[in-house]
Amino acid sequence: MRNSFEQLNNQEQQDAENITDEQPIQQETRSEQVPIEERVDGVLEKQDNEISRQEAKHDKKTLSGFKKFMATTMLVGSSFLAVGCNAEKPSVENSAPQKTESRQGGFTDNVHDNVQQRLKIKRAEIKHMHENSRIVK
Amino acid sequence: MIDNQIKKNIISKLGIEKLPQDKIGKIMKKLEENIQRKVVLEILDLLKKEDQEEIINLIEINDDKRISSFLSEKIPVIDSLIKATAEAVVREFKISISKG
Repeated sequence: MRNSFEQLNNQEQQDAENITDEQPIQQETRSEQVPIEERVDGVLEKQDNEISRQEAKHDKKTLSGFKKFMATTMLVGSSFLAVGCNAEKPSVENSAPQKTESRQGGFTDNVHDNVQQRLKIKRAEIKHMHENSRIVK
Repeated sequence: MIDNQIKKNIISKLGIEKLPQDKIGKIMKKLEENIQRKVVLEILDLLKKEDQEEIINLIEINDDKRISSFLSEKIPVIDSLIKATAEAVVREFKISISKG
């Protein structure tokens, strides 16, 4: 009788341990996945709205002609996404945040700012070239 | 068409590997579209109205070679521009989803 009571107690204790071991994992998986999916949808929608707002300033015929050309010609055999991710190289981004730039020439440790900075420089270079070609003519 | 290894790298670099496959496919398709649209806008911003019209004429007659050489002439840094724009869209995506 005493033995079976102890067995029952042990069984209950074991069950309780199993429950406390399993529950956090299930909850973690659930709470991790849903927000990421929602965040992803939110980001893509935000980007889409922002681009649509900029596209509204341009002629529809010009935009559709350009898009057609870009889709078929600019990156044959590759994708813009692969270029944007530097996906030709294996990923090394799983742990620490990347520090890819020094602080020279207006660049900081923030990669996003650096990309914007590079775009700004390229635009300035192109403007400068246009102005120079006008002077030469 | 991108090969499987590059696709795996993209998924890993975007940090979306835990999501279901169909969701990953949709994200990649939408990001690709967003980058392409953004690249078009960046290029248009750098071209004068008459250059834009010239390119549209070339697109209409499907003269891809002349379009490419025309674009390279007008925007000599076009490859860097595409790369920087694509990186900016991807970076914005990654920062926004990591903020939570």
